[in-house]
Amino acid sequence: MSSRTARERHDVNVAGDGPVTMVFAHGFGCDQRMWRLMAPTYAERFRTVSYDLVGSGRSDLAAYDRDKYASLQGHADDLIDIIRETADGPVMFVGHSVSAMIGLLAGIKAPELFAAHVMLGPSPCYINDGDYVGRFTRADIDSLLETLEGNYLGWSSTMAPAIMGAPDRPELGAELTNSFCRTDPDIAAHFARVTFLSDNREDLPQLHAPTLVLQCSEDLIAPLAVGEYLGRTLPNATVRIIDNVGHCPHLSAPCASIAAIDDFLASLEARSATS
Amino acid sequence: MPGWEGLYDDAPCGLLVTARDGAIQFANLTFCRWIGSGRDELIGKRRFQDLLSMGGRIFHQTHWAPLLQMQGSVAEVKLDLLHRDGRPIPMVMNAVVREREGVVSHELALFVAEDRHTYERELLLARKRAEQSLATQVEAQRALELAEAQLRMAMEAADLYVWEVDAQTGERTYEPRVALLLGYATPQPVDLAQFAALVEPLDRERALQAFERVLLASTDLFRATYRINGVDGRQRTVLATARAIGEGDGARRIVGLLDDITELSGQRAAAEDRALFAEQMIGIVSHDLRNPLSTIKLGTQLLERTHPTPSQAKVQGNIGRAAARALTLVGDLLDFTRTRMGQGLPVDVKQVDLHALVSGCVEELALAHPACALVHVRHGQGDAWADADRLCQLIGNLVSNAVAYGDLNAPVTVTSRIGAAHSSVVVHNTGPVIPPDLMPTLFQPMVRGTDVGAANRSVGLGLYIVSQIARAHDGDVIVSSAVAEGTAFTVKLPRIQ
Repeated sequence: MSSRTARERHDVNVAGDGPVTMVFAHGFGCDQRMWRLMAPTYAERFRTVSYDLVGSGRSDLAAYDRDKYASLQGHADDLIDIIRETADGPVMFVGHSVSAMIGLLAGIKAPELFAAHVMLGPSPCYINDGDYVGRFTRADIDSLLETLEGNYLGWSSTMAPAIMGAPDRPELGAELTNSFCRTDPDIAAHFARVTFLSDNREDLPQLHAPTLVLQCSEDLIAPLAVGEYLGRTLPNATVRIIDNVGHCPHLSAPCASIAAIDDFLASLEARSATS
Repeated sequence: MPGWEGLYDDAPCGLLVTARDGAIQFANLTFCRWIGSGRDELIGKRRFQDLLSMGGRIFHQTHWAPLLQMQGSVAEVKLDLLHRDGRPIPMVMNAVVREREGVVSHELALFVAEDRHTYERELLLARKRAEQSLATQVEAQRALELAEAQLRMAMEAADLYVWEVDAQTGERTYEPRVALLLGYATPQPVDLAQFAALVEPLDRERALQAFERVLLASTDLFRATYRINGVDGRQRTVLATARAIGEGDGARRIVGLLDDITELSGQRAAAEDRALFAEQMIGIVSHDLRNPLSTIKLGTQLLERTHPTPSQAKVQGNIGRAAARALTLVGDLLDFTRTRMGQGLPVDVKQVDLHALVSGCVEELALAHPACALVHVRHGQGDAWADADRLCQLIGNLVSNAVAYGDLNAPVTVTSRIGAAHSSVVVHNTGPVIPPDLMPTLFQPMVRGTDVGAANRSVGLGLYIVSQIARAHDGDVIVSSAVAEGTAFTVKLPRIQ
């Protein structure tokens, strides 16, 4: 294991200022820059921390230990380290997709570190199982792994991705476009396997912190049935559905996402005021 | 401008416009042809992601859809589109996000990329093969390192040192450890001049000649023993061996070992000394002791003719028997020594009349054992193959044994039998049973019964020599001993030479 600090391993970025720290964790596929349309809004009111999962973005790829990251618990332990290193009190945790489950595991292991969880497009299990509708079959996941492998050239870090150029988006720097969503193909395949074969349904009842499940109206990865299941099974959850097609509301519907989170935060304040 | 529409529809690539959620708004004919669907089946009815394989849709959702949103464009994304008949078509896609009058849409251009797909597959396979072969190589490297370490340990434990010869130039090189052989305290570089100077001058010429023979390839194996006068004042004896290793292109390498045999040669010299001493002892026993004993025996026989008084005759008889026993003992010792030196007992096997031979033996033995009744029994007819003298010796040993351990009130029976494949001689006596714990080692030298009178005591070679004589005849000897049946030694000899 690398002797570097969690901050360095995960390219932790801290911004803003406020009494409470808000931690943003990205999902499978890309990196912390997914939060660029949302995190700055919160930096006005909170201290914001965003980071890359080991194996993604600009994290320390050498620290990707296949044994440690053979389950999501490895990433959950990293999250605990990051919070201990960067925050004083319990944090607002915002996790997208697989990171919602990483937050779940970390919140069960170290509940004192979490004030509340916001889960964007979460799914505790992607594969159908009896009555449970996860949306996918094992064959679908195998097909994904094949697609990842088949796109070897597109993934390879040695091949710089070609960018068409976005004349109407001058704010995107070259630095961003060159590494976003790109990582070591072998790590991507390993992480995909761990993510899409994970099953955290039995952990859900153990998370007692207030939780917002932010569900898109049409999301291939996390369908409505999964959101409903989470609402039923998490002890302290609010489910909000926002009008969005796709799995990345923080990119395609940032305003609706922020509004839903703000409502949740307000309800938390109201709750603490009355208690 | 006329033709623009045609260019759009028949462009050499698939062109699509979709809404932000992927709903197909326009599709050109090229694209429709490639995926085998009519335009009316797509526009307003399908979303672009519906045309992807499930894996491709997850990939779309988790990777390039966010990428497209972040960057406003993606290029060279590879994905599999599903043909109407279900088969995947690998395509490469460029896409841009376009905003017109406040409405955002995605414009997509797609190219069939079968070749890139094939190439990518090959690349992936080649990479996997390379990784596999790398893993194999790493494993082989590890095994080699382990083998080298083991070899090094074995060589150190065995005092072996490596040297090498360039067959072209004849130049010899020595590993640094060879310095230890030359009397240095630590390994260090050793050159030929240094090495040659320390070789004992008396051995130098011989070693050089052997070396030249292997260099000229008249022999593949070099082997020479020479002494080295070490710089520490010690002389070491070294066995140098070398072997030419042919290489594919005909070039020869000669690789050799130096074996420190100082201790070994010392031990060997001592062993040779001991063997020589034993041989000399045999000489002493066979000549120097046998001859005087024969003289004594002959002397008593001569004295018998001089009409001795009864008391003189008794003494003469005792002397004669004592001499005869001593001669037998000496003979046994001689035979024992021979078998122990690995020479085996010499036998001169001839066709003999077994019954007549045994009868003669029994008559002679009756004289030597006057206190005991000896009976000869014959079965069958014909000749046997045997060394007559050795067979008499064998019978003599077995009869002595029977007399020593058996009941002297009953006769000792010697039976000679001619069978179809074997002839046999059985010596039988009644009396005490051979203790069972003695049975397994009965035919080993220096083993004997315990309750024997001093007169019949021997050194315990009798049965050992019986078994050796039987073996020298390609026969064997078995023993049975029971209260009811008595004790019988059966010697079986093959009848066919």
